[in-house]
Amino acid sequence: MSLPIANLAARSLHNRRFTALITVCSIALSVSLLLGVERLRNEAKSAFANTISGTDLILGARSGGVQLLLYSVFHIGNASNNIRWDSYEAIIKDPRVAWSVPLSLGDSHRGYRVVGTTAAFFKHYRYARDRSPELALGEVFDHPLEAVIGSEVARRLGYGPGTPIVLAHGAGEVSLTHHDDQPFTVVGVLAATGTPLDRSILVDLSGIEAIHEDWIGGRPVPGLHHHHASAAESEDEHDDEHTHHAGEPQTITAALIGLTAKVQTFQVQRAINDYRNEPLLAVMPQVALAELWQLMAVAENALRLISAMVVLVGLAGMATALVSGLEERRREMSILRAVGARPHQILTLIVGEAAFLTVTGMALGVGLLSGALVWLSPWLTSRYGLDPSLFSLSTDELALLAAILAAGLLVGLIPGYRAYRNSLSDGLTPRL
Amino acid sequence: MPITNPLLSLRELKYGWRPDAPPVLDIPEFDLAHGEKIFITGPSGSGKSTLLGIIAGVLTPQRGALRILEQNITRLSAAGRDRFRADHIGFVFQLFNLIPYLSVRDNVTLPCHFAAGRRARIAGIGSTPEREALRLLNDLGLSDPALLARPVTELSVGQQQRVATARALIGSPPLLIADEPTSALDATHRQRFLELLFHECAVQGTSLLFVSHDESLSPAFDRRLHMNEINRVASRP
Ligand SMILES: Nc1ncnc2c1ncn2[C@@H]1O[C@H](COP(=O)(O)OP(=O)(O)OP(=O)(O)O)[C@@H](O)[C@H]1O
Ligand SMILES: [Mg+2]
Repeated sequence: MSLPIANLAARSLHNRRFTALITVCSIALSVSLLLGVERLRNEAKSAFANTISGTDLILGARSGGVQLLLYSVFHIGNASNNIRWDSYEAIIKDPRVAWSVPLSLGDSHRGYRVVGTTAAFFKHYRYARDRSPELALGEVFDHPLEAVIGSEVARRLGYGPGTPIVLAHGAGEVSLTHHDDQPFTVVGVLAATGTPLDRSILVDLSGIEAIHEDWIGGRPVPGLHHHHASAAESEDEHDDEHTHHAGEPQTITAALIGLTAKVQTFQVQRAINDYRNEPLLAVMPQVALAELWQLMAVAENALRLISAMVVLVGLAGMATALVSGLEERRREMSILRAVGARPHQILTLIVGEAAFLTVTGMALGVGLLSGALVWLSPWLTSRYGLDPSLFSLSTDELALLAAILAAGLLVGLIPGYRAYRNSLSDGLTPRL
Repeated sequence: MPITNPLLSLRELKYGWRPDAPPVLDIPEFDLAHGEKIFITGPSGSGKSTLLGIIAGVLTPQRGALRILEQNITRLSAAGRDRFRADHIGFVFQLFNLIPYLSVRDNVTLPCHFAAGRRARIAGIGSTPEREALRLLNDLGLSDPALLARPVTELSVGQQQRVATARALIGSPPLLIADEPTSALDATHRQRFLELLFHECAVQGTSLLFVSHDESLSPAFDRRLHMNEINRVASRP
């Protein structure tokens, strides 16, 4: 753009600054929405991907791979079936299995899921890039009726070491059957991890077994008492003094498995899937995650489409403002033509304005988003474990901004071309 | 009768706004001498403004030849015609001549941004567009600095027309086209405006093509033409 045209565009816009401001604001809002959706989407995705690492296989009852991943790791949905303890033992006897962490789900406390597991969990579970869960307060459970709670549970319910808790059967906030007779005691609080662990209550597997002892089919059976001959054989090097109080678990929901060598993953997976005594399923977390992304792609794309539409609406608003402005500015264009402005300079004048409005809107939008994220980030982090970057733009986002600018220029061509045509047909006589 | 060595000459010109509609202009011959001041009149719709548009090179005639300063305008490209107009022709319209968001001075210097020829002529007399603008405004009776600082939208119509004249004349174009520049002025201002306009044209040696319905102004001009004297379309009943 030549200097006089840029100068004229700037002064002309300044002359119409109120309309320009509204246009810029609508573009800014739509741009911050689009970028915000994009950033939270990516952040949610990486939060998902960061929830499990270092685990080679997830073992569960035969169902869908995504379903198994969701209920075992993300605590979304419920297992349709449990797996028998003896199957689990048989699987992990395989010399290719380096470690395993059993998970028993199905109970809850005030809406927070209870995970029955062993101390091996703290040793082998990894999130983000190879990070272990750490205790913020207290210690790991050491007794069947002790519990370690996630950071959010502690914060929201105001619990700490020493708090007694009563588990309910089922995952709901309100549950009709309570294991009132067997209260647990909080002994440790985990540091925040940004994973579903923050919203979990971890107890020893034998504790789960203990409160379910007199239960059959999910309901207590009055008068029925089990006798268990053998003490629980836990996997870890825990001292048996405490675990022998409870019975050996009959079933577990799922298990995390680590292998001695990653190259054997497929073989072990096949061996598990071919297990004869019970229909089992083993999935690689990364594969199940990839499947999950595919499932979510539709929803994701719908979301992106909607926010892209919002940007288009913002740009259409700009086109409307520019086109209606043209009618008032026909005289201005005629004068410019009379003093020697070329039709293409008139086009440049209008498209340049569109470019300026779009760029200003985008800059304001990015600023707005950063501001909103700074303001919301404590909440996003605590509530959803999301930690979106505040000020830096990713290359994807820059590409998106470039696309918006291109769209803005294209939209600017509509009034620009009109002005160009008018400037040719109006001649020099200023029209009103 | 043809003028020898005219500034502008038109031959066998035909123009219609649409191919299917009857032509608006059919002019066998029209010449303008260097430094000449012509008064053109004619009824509304007789094609006066259209003729000015053709001379400015904004409208392209279907037939005929237009020569200005020995240049065959009809043969020039659109870009060439725009450049020629910017350099050689100044305009004053009936009303609303000024860009509302530019100051008085910036309105006057505006053509210099688009016309290298005008810049060159100003540089040739050792001046600058800003100095020339102030000189012209001063000559046209607009010397009050407070007035020059006002937004152009706050000027009176007569003041606006004088600013427009200064703009048309900056950089000494050889031809000034004025399309009813006085129709919004009262009788005294009209006379005063015309005197200033003539004075500046004389100083700069500019030819003047002046369109008006106000016959009382015509005696001051070198020549008075009615559209039906030159245009065959207009002369039809
Ligand atoms: N932009 C245009 N498109 C189509 N027709 C036009 C256009 N401008 C003018 N005309 C037509 O051309 C004819 C001549 O118009 P023009 O404006 O040249 O008349 P004029 O002599 O300047 O009239 P007035 O004294 O009212 O200004 C008219 O019939 C008019 O309707
Ligand atoms: Mg006219």
